[in-house]
Amino acid sequence: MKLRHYVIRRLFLLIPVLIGVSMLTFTLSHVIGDPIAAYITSQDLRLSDLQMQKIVTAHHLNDPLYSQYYYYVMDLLRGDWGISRTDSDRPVLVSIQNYFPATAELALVSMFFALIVGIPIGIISAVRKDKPADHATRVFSLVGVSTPVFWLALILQYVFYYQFKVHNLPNLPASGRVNQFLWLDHPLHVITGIYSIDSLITGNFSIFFDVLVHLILPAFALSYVFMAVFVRMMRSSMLEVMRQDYITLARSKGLSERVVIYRHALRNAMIPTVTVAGLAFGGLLAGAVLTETVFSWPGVGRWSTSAIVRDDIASIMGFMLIIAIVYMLANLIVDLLYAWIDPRIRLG
Amino acid sequence: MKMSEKKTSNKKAIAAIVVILIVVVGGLAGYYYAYLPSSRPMVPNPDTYVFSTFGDVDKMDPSVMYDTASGEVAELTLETLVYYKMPGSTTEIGPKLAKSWDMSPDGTVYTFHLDPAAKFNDGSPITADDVKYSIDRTILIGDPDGPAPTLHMHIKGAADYLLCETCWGATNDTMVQAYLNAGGVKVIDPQTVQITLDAPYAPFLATMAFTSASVVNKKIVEANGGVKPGFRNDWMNQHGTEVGSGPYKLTEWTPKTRVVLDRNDNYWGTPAKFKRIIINEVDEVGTRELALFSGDADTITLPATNLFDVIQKDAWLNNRQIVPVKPGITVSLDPTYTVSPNFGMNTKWKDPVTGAVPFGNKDFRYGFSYAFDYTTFINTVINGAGIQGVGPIPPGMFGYNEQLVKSLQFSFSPDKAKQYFLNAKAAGAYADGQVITLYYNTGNEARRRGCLLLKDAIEGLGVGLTIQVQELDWPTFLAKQRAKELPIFFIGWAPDFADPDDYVPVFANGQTGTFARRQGFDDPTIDQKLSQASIESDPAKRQALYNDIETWLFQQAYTIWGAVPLNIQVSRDWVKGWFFNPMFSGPNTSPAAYGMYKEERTDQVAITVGPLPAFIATVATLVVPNYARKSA
Amino acid sequence: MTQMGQVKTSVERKSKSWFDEHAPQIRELKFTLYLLRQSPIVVAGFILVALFIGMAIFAPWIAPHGPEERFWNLPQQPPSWRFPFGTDTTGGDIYSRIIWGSRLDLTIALTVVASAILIGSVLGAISGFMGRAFDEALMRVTDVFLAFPALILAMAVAAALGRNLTNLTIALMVVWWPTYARLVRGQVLAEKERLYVDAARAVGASPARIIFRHVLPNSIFPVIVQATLDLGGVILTAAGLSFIGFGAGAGVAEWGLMIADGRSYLFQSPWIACFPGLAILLSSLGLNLIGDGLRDVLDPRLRR
Repeated sequence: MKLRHYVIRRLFLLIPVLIGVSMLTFTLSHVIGDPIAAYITSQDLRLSDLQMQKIVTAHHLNDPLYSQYYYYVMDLLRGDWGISRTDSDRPVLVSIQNYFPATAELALVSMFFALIVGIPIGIISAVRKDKPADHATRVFSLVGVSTPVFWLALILQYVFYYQFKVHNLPNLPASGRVNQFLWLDHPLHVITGIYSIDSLITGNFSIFFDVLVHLILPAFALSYVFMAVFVRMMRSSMLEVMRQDYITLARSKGLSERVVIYRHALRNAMIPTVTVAGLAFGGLLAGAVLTETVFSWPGVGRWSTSAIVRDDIASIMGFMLIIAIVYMLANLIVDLLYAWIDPRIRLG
Repeated sequence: MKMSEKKTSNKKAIAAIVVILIVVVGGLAGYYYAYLPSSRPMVPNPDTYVFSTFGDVDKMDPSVMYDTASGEVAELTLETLVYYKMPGSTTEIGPKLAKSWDMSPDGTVYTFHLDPAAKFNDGSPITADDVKYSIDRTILIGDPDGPAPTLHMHIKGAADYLLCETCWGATNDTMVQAYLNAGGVKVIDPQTVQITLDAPYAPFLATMAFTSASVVNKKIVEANGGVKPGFRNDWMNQHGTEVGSGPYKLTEWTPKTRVVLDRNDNYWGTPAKFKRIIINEVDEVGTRELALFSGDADTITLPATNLFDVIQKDAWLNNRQIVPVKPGITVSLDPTYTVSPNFGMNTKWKDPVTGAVPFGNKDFRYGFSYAFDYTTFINTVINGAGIQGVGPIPPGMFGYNEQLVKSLQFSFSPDKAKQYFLNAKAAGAYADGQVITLYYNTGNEARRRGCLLLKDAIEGLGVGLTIQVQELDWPTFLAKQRAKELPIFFIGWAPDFADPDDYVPVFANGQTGTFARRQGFDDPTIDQKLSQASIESDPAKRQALYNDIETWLFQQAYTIWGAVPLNIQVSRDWVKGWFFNPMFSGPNTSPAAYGMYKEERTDQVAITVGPLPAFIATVATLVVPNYARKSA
Repeated sequence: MTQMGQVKTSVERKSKSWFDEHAPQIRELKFTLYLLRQSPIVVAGFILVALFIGMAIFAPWIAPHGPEERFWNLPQQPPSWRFPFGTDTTGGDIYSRIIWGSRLDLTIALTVVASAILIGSVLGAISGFMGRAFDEALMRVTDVFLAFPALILAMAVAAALGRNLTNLTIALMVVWWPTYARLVRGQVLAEKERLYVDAARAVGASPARIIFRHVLPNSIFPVIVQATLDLGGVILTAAGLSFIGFGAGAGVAEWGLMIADGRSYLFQSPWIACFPGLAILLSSLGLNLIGDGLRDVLDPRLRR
């Protein structure tokens, strides 16, 4: 089937999952305390019965469950995701709009970093199988997936921020996205919310470099685990591929080893890795929650942890929904890439 | 792989690494030199004051804000008719927007004469209309969790409106009209405002000094949503501190990140010295401390539990001497009017499993009161930055009776505690295996440790009680408290106005007191005495009434009075002109409105390590290990 | 004579032991164990895991102090002979608390993974075998659960249930079972096509019997590998949740919580946060080493 059809089919398949996800958030929101709390602002803790009644009626909270669910979905589609009590009573969608670009920036940079470091190491590990390099990378990758990301973030802060500062070395910043004085002196015209892109587009280079410097520690902490995953994945899929007959054929044709690896093996080995990248992205989002908290990074992860310890239902559910959507889209993109690379998938 | 190929690919790998290193280092060094502000200035940002704290502003609308972070911004940007005489007075009220005022002989009518020079930060003059508008606004919005019910009940017509259940979350036109018709706030002429009270109320002027009585620019507020009685104004929640008359005005509020205030160059009084104030929100104490030491922040908030990060422990604990651990820091510890933390017991709490109502039994409460290690809490947990709790009236305030309090205070006595618990158990207040959960609000380290102290002591008595300690965040905490779901919880109070009437009813009036209601007790005699004391003008009689009430409170032991903390001010020593007033919501920043400044210095500060070589070292340690593995 | 011989043989055939019947699988198992012993990675993993299990079991004897024994007058002490890893903010001995904490985290990990396997395998097996409606339904349900990263779903469920260790365990169980459901279902689908299943059906064996006696035993190996890796993953997620504030109440000796406590004093007393993190790392590492080694060993293509 054509690629177009494949895309459409996959998009359609998303819908039942989205419905299921909304059912899950709906159920959870009814379990976490009173569903009315999603529509009450932070200090409306002393509403009279009359006011409560009004809100209950307005949001159909006394109707049978299936009816409530219907209104819930209608609200979601209309853009009413509730009020974020922990974010000064802003509407949840506004909070997400404010905080999501920061998380996206962090996640993308981490992913990029994990890929460009992890993949080459994985390849080398496969090529030099069972040599010291291979064992070293295996250990590195196993340590990587065993490290608690929030602990790693703390250690990085301690070494590269505190110890460096205390010894009068230029240090890496441990919190925030940008130096406040630079921010005020060179105001950034924010377009996407991803400061590195915005500053490049508007030619604001002081902010650009500063943002990159602020990204170093959090992105490294976040990417470390995934670097390990990619190393592992590349290694095993390279090994898999290199055992294939067509590789032996290429070699016997007299092609140099480098051509064999880069031209033939690599492309096929990338496929499972690309798949894993999609799944890894989900883990990246989860890791972002912890990393953002440690680095005071103003993204959705930090917002969600403060929301969750305060039983801010609307924010938690909004966060769950947006994460599910992003994760599904990421996997969809991965599947599409996969289908584009390997025609067998969509024809099969 | 052929040998020659291997060598070439190795060489290429090394070459690639070197190129990348040069590019990265070059880029970062370039950035460092070109764009980062001078890293070792003598006094950084001489005309900007940087304050690093935790806790974000909640709302910028003076009519509904009721937390210290928001109050701090309001104190710099908005003004009231009157204010405490600066620098340190908490009892004498002096003029601010009102140049003078008269009180009627019966004490119910106050006439304020506005200062004709007073104007808003946009240049427009402040008129009586604006004043009436601002005060009416606070009352008509009537936010039940805001300041109005505590502060403005005594204005004629306000009590009925504020107590009316159908006036919040809905606009009750009848009640609104009734309030306006009562004429509590009247415009006599453009420069004169008259406020009439229900009955004479001694602390009235003090209540007009609180942020809830701030005057806002009517024209601008009307253009942005105006007043909708019973509802908050979203625009004002975000921008309220932009439309005042104070020495600063709000320029930027990035939630959870920073608040930026710029000097009001249209200010009608003596202009402030700082051009700009930046309030940064940084949750981690360690990061704030480092910012202070490196000069990135001029003042920081420091919890008592971190006190010895900035001053020497022995000098303080043994001699009450403040000796900073690093040069260039000044630390000031000042007594406050804050009464916190205290453990409030819910006398009506019923264990859902066992059905026991342990805190209804006086002996049980006495057990708890004797089981708290007050000394360790004060000296070890809050590092001596406070004194043991003295009941609802803090030292220094009218009504404080030191002798009485010292005779009534509990002390840590495991034997007595055990005895009282056993008595309570014998009387059936609880059975072996009873679990009590102590809650503290997230992030509050002193309270967490206080809970653990109680837990260790009580469980160590072996009287069949198990104590669990749980963390809860503030609004959930409040909600559960209200719903009387918590057996024992933290309560505390900071001053709105400096009078026992702001404090004692809260803890003692079972009908209207915020905490007393949650603790589930009510003694009509005491409620009577409280109302009497509120309007009593003879100081001796007032004192006697408060003595009775305090004695009763201590003897009932509804509350474990934990501490009266000291205010901790930690600044760089180039900050001058700071002073403390316990009535400030924002003691760290508010003095800026009264002439705080940074002194100029000309001495050189040595730079110990050259930036470029150190930078290469930084980058190398980050980058090389990854690539070293690659070429192994 | 012949009669006697015949009787003998039939008796022999009837009393064929379970071991003889499963002789090929047992040989396979012995070979696997041999390969495992050869792999240095697996051996290292076993040592680490044994260390932590030993810690958990013998805690009352090895730990110098109790898990909630606080020396209020000695807060934030740096490591010393008396307190090898220092003390925390309320004077608890970090070394002892790490030892006691191993009980909590290992119990949680085992409970979660065991339950997830149980629930997931049963559901997955039934689903794979029954096919059609039930299968579709189960697949959609697992899709929904797998649409969320583990930590995030666990966060929401834990928030819904309330903050204590039991609910944390339940939340993690809810998050982990779909993986096993899918895994076992896949195995079952593959096995379904095999001849012996048709044969068993022809003989009249019930579906349950087929699942339990034939299909499940053949699906064990991938499940074991996944389980070992997941044990490490659960420890990390549980620690992450405790770090945010969703697990043990204050004062309890739990690794994630200890790191959270140490965070405010990271610069002044780094040992409070550092050592519990190492404990998490090493215990998780041990499990991952075993899992990784197992996977290599069990991969049929790498065995020959």
